Amino acid sequence: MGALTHRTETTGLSMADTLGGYWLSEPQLRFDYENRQALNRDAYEGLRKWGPSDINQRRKAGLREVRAVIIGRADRVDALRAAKAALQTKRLGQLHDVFEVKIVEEVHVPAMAHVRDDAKAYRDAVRAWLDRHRGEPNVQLAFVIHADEEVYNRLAGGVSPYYAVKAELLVANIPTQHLCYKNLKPGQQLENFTRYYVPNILTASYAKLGGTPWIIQDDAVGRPEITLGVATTAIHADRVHGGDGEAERYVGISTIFKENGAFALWKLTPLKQDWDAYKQSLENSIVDAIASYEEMERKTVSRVACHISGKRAGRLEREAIENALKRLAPRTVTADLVHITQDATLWLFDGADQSLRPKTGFLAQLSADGRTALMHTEGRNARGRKYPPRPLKLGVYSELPPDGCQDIYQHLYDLRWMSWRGVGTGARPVSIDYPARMSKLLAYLHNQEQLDALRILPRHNRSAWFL
Amino acid sequence: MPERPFPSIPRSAPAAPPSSSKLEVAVDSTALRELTPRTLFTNLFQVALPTGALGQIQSAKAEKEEFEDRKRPQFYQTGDTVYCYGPGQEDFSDRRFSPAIVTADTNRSFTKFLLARGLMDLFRGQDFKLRGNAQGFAVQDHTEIIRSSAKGHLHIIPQYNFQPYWVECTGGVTRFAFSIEPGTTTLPTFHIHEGLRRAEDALDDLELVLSAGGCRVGCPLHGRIGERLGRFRGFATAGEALDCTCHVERFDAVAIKVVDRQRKPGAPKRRRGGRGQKRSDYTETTLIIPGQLVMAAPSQRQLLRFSKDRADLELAGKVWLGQVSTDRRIRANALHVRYERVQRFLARMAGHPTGPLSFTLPTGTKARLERVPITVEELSSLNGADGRSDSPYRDDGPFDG
Repeated sequence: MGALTHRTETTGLSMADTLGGYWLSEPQLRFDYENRQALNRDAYEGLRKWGPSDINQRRKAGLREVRAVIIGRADRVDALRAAKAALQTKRLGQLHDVFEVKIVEEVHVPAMAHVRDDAKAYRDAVRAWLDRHRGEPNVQLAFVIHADEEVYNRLAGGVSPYYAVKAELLVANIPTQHLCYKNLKPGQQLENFTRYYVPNILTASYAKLGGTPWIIQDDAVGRPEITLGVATTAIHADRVHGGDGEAERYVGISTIFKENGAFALWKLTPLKQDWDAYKQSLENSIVDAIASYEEMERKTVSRVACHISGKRAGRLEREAIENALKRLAPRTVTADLVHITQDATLWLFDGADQSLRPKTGFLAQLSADGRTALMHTEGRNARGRKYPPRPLKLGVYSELPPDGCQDIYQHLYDLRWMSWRGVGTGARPVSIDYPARMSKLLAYLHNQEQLDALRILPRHNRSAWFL
Repeated sequence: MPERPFPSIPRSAPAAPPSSSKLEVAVDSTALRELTPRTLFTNLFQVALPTGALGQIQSAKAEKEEFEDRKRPQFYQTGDTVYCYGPGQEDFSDRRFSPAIVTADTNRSFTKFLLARGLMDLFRGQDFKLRGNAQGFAVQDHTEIIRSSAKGHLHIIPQYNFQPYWVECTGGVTRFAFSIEPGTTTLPTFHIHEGLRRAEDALDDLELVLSAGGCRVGCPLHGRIGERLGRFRGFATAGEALDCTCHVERFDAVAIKVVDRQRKPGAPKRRRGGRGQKRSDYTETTLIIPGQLVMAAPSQRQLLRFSKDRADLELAGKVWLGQVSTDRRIRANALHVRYERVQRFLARMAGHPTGPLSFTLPTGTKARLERVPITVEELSSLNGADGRSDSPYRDDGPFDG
């Protein structure tokens, strides 16, 4: 082990120089809110045993049956029927007390000779179906089956029925949930689909319809009352309605999460090309988002966590947030400002394991005061994909609390468990994951579907349509 | 089709750089064990620097733009301070500048910059092609071909991304280091020829490099072999005059338009990477030249769209990185594969299985990139009863929809 212990004669550099770090706690999740025992760290077990966090509200409102349509190719009706049967099995126990999917219609899309024609075929079929119902079909949810994204990226230039159908049904106020044919092959594939994919699909569908599957159970004092997730995305101007041909325009996405980690609402800025104008519109959007939340919840906030992410996010977003918070004067709002980089070139390894893959939840400090750190959010003990995502590089730009950044980072890590995309699918804090998903969909809806998404989407701003 | 075609294009992988014993260094399992800490560690590799000054450096309160016309010495701006360093200082006279004792800690941005430049010079000296990025630089390793397309015009090669950092260790000391991570990139070896006319739209905006020499003095391409010329903007219409006529005796040109975009002198500074930059800040120069003289520049993933072997090429890249097996099954030891790739590359560069990589900063100061990465120690638990996370997740199957 000579290389590990030798000391150089230059800086006195010692191979024993190390960074410091610590483990973050995995939070308890809270299900049936009126049952104090309804806690579990496993979302799947919790939903099955106790039902969603808002189960009692939904019972009181008499909500249960959800009418749905299923859309797939006419030459693959067997797969469609198999999916239909699987989706209507009650895989999530108590959840189905207030959420029972009933697929009442089928839409069969004519099979195309080449996948590059799929998007148009699906779009036309959905339009025809909507026309038959005069634009107001009596369904609340749509399941859409098609080939997976990799096929469309490879053979159709990325033009996918996923976005085509989402665009059409967004205008009709119907959330969509997408399935892939490759997961519906008879035998083991279908069994896996029913056992593992259906719980995710039902969870996401429940959230898209306004439900609250679970929240974070936390009795800690001083947790931020809201978390603001801010990201900037670029839309290429030659596809923008009314664009003047300049290179890029930017839109800011602000998402708000409650103290318990539940998604509350989101806001978009108008498209801007000028940097100063964009910063001002982002500031306005943040002020507006906080005001909307306060009106919705009938309370004012005094402690906010702000998580900034997205491509090349930086000083502009921080300044917009700082200015927005100042506008809440005369009341004082304290804010933790965390900048999150998802594509930093830093990795963590565990030399004690053959795979070198660390366990979930380690935070390595890159600076002595903890202001800069690396958070590992999905490790070898986590269910899900085996290929590890990059650690998140974190920077705290607000004043550091007297006892350090641990609470700030723990709160961020807690949000990693709040993804309602499924019962084990999250690996990023939702304050950065949700804006990222919205950003991707926004770009595709604009570019592929020519949808004036910025005009239509705001009416869905309390819906997690992007999951 | 041209009646006098361009001399035949080799349908094979590009030539490797001059052979060196450094290319043959092996990292066996014993060496890898020696280089792999038994605890948590990062992909940060420390740089050993001398204590004291980083070399002969001068500084002044000035603007770097004032010296843009000089090739020597070199200048670096941080805030309102300009540092002057490197060869040529003896011929540089500006009363505002005075000798400065600049240590590694004087200005960490400057130190990171010098480290990056020094390491880049090392790789360039070994004929590697580099690509700068906002975070650091990437070394394209064309000595190793991961996979070639069936026709031999497009290759997947390794790429190693280096980014300089400074970190504060538990003893309170600051250390400089490079993060190193492996990746893959494309290496095209095809000229723009008549057969690509049907793909003209798809080629739009492709960056092009001058790959053939022989242009005379006075030609806009003279002396620019190996340089990026600009971006493809379509095939020229019949009758458009060529800007380069140096080769009219040798072959019939397939005329193409290449647009080069340069920032106007005096245009307001914008953030790098295109944010907030306006088209009006730039001048565009269009050249009409024979397509046979240029090749697509490396590291443009859009090139994969042209290849019928795209799926195979992408899969080969993922297999090399350890993400998947050849039958597309996800592998659990991807991190191990990536770490090994980095160590093998460093061994080749260092000429030793475990020894450090020596390089020189532009100031003349010697530095060493160490081979054992920076480790992380667990500080006392801050989490009370919950302590360390130990998920009850079952690990019994795929889950992501």
